[in-house]
Amino acid sequence: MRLLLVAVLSCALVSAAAADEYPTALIERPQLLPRGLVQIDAALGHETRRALGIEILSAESADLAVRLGVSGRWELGAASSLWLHPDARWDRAVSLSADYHAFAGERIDIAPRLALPLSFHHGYDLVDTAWLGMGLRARLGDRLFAVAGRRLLPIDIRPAFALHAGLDGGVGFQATPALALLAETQLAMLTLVGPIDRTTTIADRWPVSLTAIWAARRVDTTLELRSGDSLALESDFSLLVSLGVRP
Amino acid sequence: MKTLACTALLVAACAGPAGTSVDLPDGSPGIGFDDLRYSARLGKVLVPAGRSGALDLIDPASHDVTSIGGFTQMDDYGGGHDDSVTSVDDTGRWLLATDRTAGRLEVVDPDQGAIVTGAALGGHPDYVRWVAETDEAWVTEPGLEQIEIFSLAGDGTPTRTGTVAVPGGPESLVVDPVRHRAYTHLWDGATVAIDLAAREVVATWDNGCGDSRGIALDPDLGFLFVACQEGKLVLLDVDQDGANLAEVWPVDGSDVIDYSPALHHVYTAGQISATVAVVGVSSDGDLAILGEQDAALGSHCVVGDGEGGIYVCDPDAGRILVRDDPFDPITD
Repeated sequence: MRLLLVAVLSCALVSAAAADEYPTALIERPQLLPRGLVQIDAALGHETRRALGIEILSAESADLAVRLGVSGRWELGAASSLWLHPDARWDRAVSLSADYHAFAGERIDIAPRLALPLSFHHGYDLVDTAWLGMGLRARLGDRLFAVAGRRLLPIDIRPAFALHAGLDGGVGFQATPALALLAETQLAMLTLVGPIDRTTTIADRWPVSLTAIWAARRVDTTLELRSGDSLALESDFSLLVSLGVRP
Repeated sequence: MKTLACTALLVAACAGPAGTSVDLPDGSPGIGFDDLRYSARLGKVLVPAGRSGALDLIDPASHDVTSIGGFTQMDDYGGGHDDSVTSVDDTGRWLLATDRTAGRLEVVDPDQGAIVTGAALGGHPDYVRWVAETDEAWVTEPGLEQIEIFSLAGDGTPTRTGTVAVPGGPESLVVDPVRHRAYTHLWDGATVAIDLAAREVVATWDNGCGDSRGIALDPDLGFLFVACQEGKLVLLDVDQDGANLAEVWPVDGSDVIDYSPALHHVYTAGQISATVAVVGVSSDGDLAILGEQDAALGSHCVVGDGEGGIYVCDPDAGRILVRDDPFDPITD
């Protein structure tokens, strides 16, 4: 028990020191959390989904995520969600993620991410889809940066194996040292292998997300708006407000 | 505190499926359900309850169960769905039910709550369906790769009148009163159309399944829904020579499905994913997964009552799970 206490206190001290040195401006931050730094994200969101002309979901949820910088090259994370309204329930899934800082150039760095959502439903399928992202970020100027491949490869595992390529990307703007704005979209999803066809292009739907991040030394406040199809008046829509705390 | 939190998490993770359920008489050893039907005339969910030896009728409002016995009764449940009564249909006067163990087609008078007559079958039965247009009972017999046909006398007594050969099948059966056809699957990725009067296969269509299972029809739109064992749901257009219009993957491990023509919703349950899904159907042949809910491992059969009630079999517990279809009708 004492050993555990010492370990926790040591981690807290390391995390506190790392948090103090962590840049405020998003454009100056490394893609992964530095070694020992912990970030806890708590979010409240509203989501509306539509299909075939009817509303199929209108719900509020709370998300909780923890990320830990294991070393300069590795970051591990875990996330889960609770539905708050209309039915309050845990969604019986925990998503585990691992990020690897594979390349760090002067302007470009690449940190691939593997996310593995584990389902604790009643069925036999523990994992039905995994996500592999390329995690590319390019600094285009002092204030401008681009991101791509955050969800590069959805991998369907059950009920059938299928591999897809997603073409997504976005542009970010560091408006002030504290405020960053990010616009992202997905141009296409192409099924490469397998019977589950996820192929769509912006001719079918044009998903867009707009994000504003207000960063302080230890706390990030994020507002994110997502549209499932920005060309359709009635489409999927979500609004997320989150706090990211580095204790 | 930590112990309490862990316990709460475990309870949340391992608790039974959400929603209500209907326990069936003598269901606790388990029941090998297969076919489920809803009779709008009787206002009852019809549940052939396998080894319990009864055809159970569930009232959707009260969930009261009326049990009609007289089928083969067995003490032990060994899994699968090969025991006793497993398929049923409503003629408008009688209920027809097949008993796999006895190899019989039984005719039930729902007013008397009893079997009144019946006939021996030529082979091991799978599904029974009433063909109103010809006043015939069609019984699929996969072991003999045929459909056996019976006419019914005024007192309900069945008389064998012929067969339809379905090499490679038949799996599932649905009748199309608009086109005077019946549709059934071949096990290995095809669906066939049968002319009701000629009693012969008149078309064979690729259905995209690795293993074909359940079937449902929207006769007005000419949409035939095919459930694949692997969990895929396929929409074939019977007016376009079985053209594949759409497919989705709503569950893992599908079998018996149902369709609500009023809502334009298909219900499909997954015995591996332990879920039941509602799939929307647009008039131009699009499919979209509207939502899914928990069911149970082994839940491979489902029926709707046309008014938003969904009934899913739970074989290991010998009960029927009741879920709601909360979605609006598709009008697109």
